[in-house]
Amino acid sequence: MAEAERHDEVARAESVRAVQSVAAQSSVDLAAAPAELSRWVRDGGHRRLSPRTALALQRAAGNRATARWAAGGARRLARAVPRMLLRLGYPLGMTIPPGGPTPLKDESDHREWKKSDFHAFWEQEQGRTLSDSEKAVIDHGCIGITANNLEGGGNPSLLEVYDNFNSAHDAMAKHNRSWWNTHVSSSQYVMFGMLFWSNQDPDPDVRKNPNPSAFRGDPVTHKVNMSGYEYRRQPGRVNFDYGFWDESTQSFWHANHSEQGPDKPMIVYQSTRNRFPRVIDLGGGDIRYGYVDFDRAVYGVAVANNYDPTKARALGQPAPAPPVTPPTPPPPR
Amino acid sequence: MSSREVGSTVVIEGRADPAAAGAAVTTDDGEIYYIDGLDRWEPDVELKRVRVSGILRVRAGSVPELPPDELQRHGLVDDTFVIEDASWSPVEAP
Repeated sequence: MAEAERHDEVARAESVRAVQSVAAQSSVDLAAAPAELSRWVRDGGHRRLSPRTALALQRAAGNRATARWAAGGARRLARAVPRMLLRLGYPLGMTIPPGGPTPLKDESDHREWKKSDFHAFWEQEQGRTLSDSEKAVIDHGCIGITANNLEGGGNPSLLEVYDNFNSAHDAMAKHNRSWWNTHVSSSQYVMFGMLFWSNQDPDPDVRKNPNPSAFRGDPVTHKVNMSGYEYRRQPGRVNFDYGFWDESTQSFWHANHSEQGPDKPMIVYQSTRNRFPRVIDLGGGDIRYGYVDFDRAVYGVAVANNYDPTKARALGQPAPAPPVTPPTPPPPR
Repeated sequence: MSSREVGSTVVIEGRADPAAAGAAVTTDDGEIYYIDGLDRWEPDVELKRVRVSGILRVRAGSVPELPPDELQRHGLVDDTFVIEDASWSPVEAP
């Protein structure tokens, strides 16, 4: 056995013993612990842990045991089996090869896909089938695509939101380079775009007009405080538009609307980073993004606990480079 | 436009808006009319002033208004005016 592997074995065994010891001393029933942690102990520590379970491990065994086990993580990753060719669809602007799926609409910066094609892209890339409950979440439309990837349900977290693409992209890359994310957590940070209406007044008559000062980014950090956001729409308009950012195809995945039956099916949109929040100037300083429905474009950063972006690789493309924010013109403000 | 005119042929004038629920016209007083069956205005018409004629209908909202802690549904919450069998032409701004 190589030295590195022996080190891993020792660290793993120590971590498992530490968990069992702490559990015994504090009368913690490991059978009642999170299922993944129980399995991890049973299997002798031979698997990566989700952040939630890693935290449970940390609580049970203490930081030192967790850190010792985690120190071997990078080497174990390097020994991982060669990855399959996986992708979330095709890059925009690239000709889809014969035999590939046919989009409903195909423009250089935007494609439209049947929902079943999107399901197939997702399943091919992630290497597993979508469950009925995950499909039901996706059926919520644009917000469903992002919600499914983040947590498999629930509204996407708006705790870390920026007023421009580059700031959010930098934050995502920084999170993914942290010690925790490179050694312990198997979940990656991802980002999503969000278009919405600034005026969240409960009175629809008041809400007709934009609120020029609401949901503006901090001039230094570019973070946007979304605590006052209530998912209210401009009266007579669509409520919002979310787009999940896909590094492998350099595009946002969003939708026309939620699933509304055979007469009004949900159609999945794939748009470039400029097309998704395209600027519409109504004059007089009234700027809208994507559609006239929205006067704010922001970008959220969150952990993807139900989707692994490291599996993403666009069809016909080389393996994705580590996330680096591409130079682009100033984003919409 | 009043609800009494629903079902009648109407003529409206306003800005040709690219809206998330499809091509729409927003009149000077802020009333919104969606053009039935038209996803987008042609680029040379978008944001220009147009006169549209057709049959006025009301389209029911397609998603419920949900409390903020529930997973939201993407779409139109409100009932909206729709112009069926619409025809349109550009007009000079007033």
